Amino acid sequence: MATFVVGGIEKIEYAPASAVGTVSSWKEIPNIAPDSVTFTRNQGAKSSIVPEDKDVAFINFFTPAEGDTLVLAVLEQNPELEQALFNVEYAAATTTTRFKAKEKIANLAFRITCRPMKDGRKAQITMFNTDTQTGYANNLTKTDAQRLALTATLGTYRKTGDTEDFVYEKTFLTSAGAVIDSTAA
Amino acid sequence: MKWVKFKSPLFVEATGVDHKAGDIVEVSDEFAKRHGDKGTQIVEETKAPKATN
Repeated sequence: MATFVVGGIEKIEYAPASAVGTVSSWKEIPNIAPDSVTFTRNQGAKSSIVPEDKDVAFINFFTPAEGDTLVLAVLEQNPELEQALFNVEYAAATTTTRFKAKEKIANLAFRITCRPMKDGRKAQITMFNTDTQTGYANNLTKTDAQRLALTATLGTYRKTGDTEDFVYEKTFLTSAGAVIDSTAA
Repeated sequence: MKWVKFKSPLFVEATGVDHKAGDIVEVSDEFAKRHGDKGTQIVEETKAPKATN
């Protein structure tokens, strides 16, 4: 019996966002901070009307949720990644990054490849269209590294032929990365 | 039945077969359609390999 367990981080990649769900080349984000990756699927707030003469809700209202979020931190501040995340000018000749006053909301796609957790299967979660804000986390101290702290809010995408919007997709692969055909015999 | 060449690896749960990229095998019409041009695009139709003695 196949199992579908999700956990761990094998790698996280990024690319320019795609509202049509097609990304041609991914770049890996190296050195993800330990225990920093959180993918939150938000739920809408509920309000209820409980009739005066009853103690159970007569009707429930659900407001649409905030967008789902991916939060992660990176131990390394390499200029290539910073150029994708911040509004900067980078001079490779002096390895200097100048940060512009105007804040950047980075429109990025992310692909998380989890670790194989059970039966040699791993999950791959792809978010094609996010608005990503980045700050710093951690003090400048002798015993830790300042981190890039990313918060990506997921938007929707619609692939060719789709008639509905989607937010993210999750694929299970073999530990070697092969696609699995789960069609019943 | 159709002969197909695998463009990328595919593990088939029902048979337990782990196909590698470049494998050329004979599959059912349904399988060829599911993973062909209008499906997952993991395989492409090809000719049957020549028999060798």
